[in-house]
Amino acid sequence: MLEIKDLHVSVEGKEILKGVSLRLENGKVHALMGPNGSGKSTLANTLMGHPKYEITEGKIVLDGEDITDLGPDERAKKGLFLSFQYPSEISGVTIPNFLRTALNSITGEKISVRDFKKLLEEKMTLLSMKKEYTDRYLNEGFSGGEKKKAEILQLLVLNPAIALLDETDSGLDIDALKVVAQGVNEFMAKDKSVLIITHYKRILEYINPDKMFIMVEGKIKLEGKGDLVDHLEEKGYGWIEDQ
Amino acid sequence: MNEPDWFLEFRNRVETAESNSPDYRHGLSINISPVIDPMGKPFAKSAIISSNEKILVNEDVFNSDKILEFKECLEEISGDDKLQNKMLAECTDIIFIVIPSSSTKKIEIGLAGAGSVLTVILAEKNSKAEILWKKKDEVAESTYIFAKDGSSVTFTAIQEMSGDCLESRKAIISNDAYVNWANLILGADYTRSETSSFLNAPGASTKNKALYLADNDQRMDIYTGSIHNSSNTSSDIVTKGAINGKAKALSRGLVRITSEAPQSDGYEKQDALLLSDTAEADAIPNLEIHNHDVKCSHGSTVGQIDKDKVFYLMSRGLSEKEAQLCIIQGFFSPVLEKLDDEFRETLLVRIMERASHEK
Repeated sequence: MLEIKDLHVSVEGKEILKGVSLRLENGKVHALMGPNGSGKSTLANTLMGHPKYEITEGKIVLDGEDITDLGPDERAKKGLFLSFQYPSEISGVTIPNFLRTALNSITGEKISVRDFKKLLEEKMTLLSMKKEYTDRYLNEGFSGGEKKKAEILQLLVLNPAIALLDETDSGLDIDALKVVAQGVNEFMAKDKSVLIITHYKRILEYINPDKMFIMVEGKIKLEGKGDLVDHLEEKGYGWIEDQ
Repeated sequence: MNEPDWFLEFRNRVETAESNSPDYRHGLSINISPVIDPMGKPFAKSAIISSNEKILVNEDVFNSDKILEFKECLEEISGDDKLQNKMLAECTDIIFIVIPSSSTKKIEIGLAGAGSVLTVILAEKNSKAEILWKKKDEVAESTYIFAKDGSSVTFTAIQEMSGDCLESRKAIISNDAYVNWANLILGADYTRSETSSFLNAPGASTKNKALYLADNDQRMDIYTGSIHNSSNTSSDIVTKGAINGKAKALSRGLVRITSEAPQSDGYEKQDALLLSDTAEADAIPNLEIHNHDVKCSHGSTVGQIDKDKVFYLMSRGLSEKEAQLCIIQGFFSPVLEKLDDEFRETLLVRIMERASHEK
């Protein structure tokens, strides 16, 4: 379980998160929605430990352990994963090479090339990814949809405990969205926890959220069950203010 | 030993040659005038030359049955500036490598000790040569490749020297011949490296890769040039370096396409990756086009390691050092394909070693 307690975060001296508290529970799908600029991506990057985001107050607690001061690599080893809104392009590094290094770092064990190949192929098949992907450099020259698929591939191979999906559904066509949702559902089948950050109801039709949070101006303004999204869709964010 | 009069005449010619270039060219405010002290008497074997194959060295050259060919090559040799001319005029050792017509040779040569070495490589018609060139200590180097019709020469150099490195390399490329330079610059406090290809006949082509790692207080001045003097010639220059510590690196490139070289194709790209706040780099690609019927392009980048990339990789479990290493290796790896194994491994090992020294 990931607990976020009264989190205040500043970027270059400007406070973006103004006291966020929420819990991500095991075995549950959580969704976070909110207007542009409300701080959703800031929360995702802060949870993963981006050095640009300064935590001025509050705590992040993973399974009872305070991880507020840990670096991104240590958080990854403890089971956190972030699917990036804008994944970086890493020239000269192929997906299999990179992902095997990452998997070895996280597990602290060395997976054989053969076992890794098998694992990778299995997950790629699941995501309808062509074999040619493995010859290409990580995210370099990928289309928006390909990048998001590559993020979900990494999620499935690294198999963390908690996945934060920062607008993984943005820019996907219907077919790609279905594939991504299938990937997330596959991941969830193993009693994991996921936080879906999104602007659209669309993805939540394929992945049913158990809990919803609405963020406005750096705070969680409303939380509820999965059906909250229907009210929101109907009435817009202005409606939150009246609650 | 007594050298023949014609060689003394050669020394005299290059020493007194007029040069339009400044005395010594250098950049990045590097204000040195390297002195070519003969560092040993002529042919006293002050330079240590080793080879896996029998090659002609010093008196062997004068006594060889290929002496006429050597003299012919010598006529075409001169430096571009006073420093190069001085290196030639005061050369302490000479090497002559002949790749006979239609033969294939793989030669590994080591240079060490001190001195100024003049090397002439003559690739006869339709021959094929792979030369692996390794340098240590403090030798000044002048190397000339004559690639005759239909020949192919790959010259792979690994420089891990102490002291200063002065090297000047030129390829004179004939009909449908090909010269492939790969230069790995790792050592020396000060490096002045010049590698150019002269595409002098139709169908001549060249590739020129210069990769470097500069660290601490190293200074590197790297020049790569493609001179298109004939039609249907093609050239491709790639310079890539990572600069750390307080090191400074300057890479200059030139693609010159003369009016005599229609339907030629020239490309140059120079990239520098800065690994510290105190490292400096300058990448200057130049084009000189005197013909309308050509294809030519260039580009250069100087940048630091992208912090977002480091974060991205760290979020997948890599430590900060591993993430940086991954980015540095990735920076070089697209140009490492098809290169000599030792070249590639030396670079990757040195990247790792240097990364592990930090912090």
